[in-house]
Amino acid sequence: MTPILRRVPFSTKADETVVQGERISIRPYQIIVWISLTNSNTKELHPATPRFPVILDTGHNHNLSIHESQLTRWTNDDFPSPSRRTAIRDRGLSVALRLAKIWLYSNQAGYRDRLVDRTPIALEIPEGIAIYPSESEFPRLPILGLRVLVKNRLHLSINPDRCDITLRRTGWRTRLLDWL
Amino acid sequence: MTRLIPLSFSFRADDLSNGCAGIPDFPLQRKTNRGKVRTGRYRTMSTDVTNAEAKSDSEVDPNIPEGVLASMQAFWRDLPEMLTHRRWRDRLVCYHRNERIGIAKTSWELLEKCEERNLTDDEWFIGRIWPEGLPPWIIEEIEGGGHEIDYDPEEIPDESTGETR
Repeated sequence: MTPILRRVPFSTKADETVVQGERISIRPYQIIVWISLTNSNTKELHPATPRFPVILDTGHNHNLSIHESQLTRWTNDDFPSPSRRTAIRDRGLSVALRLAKIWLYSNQAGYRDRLVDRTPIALEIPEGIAIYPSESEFPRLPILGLRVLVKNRLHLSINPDRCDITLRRTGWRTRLLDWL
Repeated sequence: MTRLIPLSFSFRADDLSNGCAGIPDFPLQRKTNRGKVRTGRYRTMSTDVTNAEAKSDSEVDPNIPEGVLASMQAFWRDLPEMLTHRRWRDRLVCYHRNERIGIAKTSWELLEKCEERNLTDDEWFIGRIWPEGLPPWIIEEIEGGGHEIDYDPEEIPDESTGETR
């Protein structure tokens, strides 16, 4: 089974990437993957849907955290539907939840920002995404948390020799690795 | 090939009184290639910590519409039973109050069913058949992560030479 993300490198030095003409700095040891966000009832992703980088952070214990301004700049859809659980709390701040669907792009093996010409993988998140209000400075870049990986049965592996990560769906390969 | 066979499960009364119906581990028999039978437990997320958290921090979200709350409660009531069906695990399930509208892999299939019934946004709930630790009507305290360190560890100057490493 082909991995969703194949040897996505992360840098041990400061780096940057470009989103819709905007330069975004990437700190050392930050894992960057590319996604699109749409309303949760989107069946197929329109090819012109904007995509943007997010930090893959297993220390983040929700699905996706994004700042209001990033949502405006980097997505086309409105996200009017409040999630069923309407809010979460982070360091005393009430953060709104909205229903959305995450589309995760596959990369060309060994390249972080070169994406393959294939339909991205839809990640189901009925709990919604967390949208941080304008009074918060967090997050600088959207953060994809561990919950979305676990609930979509994705296996993350980190190769410290090459400084890259691979993300797979559950399959015979992941089961075999689990047995070894 | 190893086969995992769910046997049975049971609740403890104190799990239910915790307000989040402690989802049990699933006792399993594992048949090995050599014909031996080993017993084990289906790995589920531990609910011990979240049970404790639910007790101390159970702040009910006041903004949940009444219809959604009723649907959430029906989902939470049925979740332990749904978890016993291995084919349903990880699937999404939609409730309209006490009625289970459907189980599907994707949310849009369920949203279509809601549209067919002309349900408004405040009458349904979609949850995942997953051993959750916290009822969906509780406001969850999250750890945002993303604690960024600004310096480049490779660029720290060597004190003896003044050169970067």
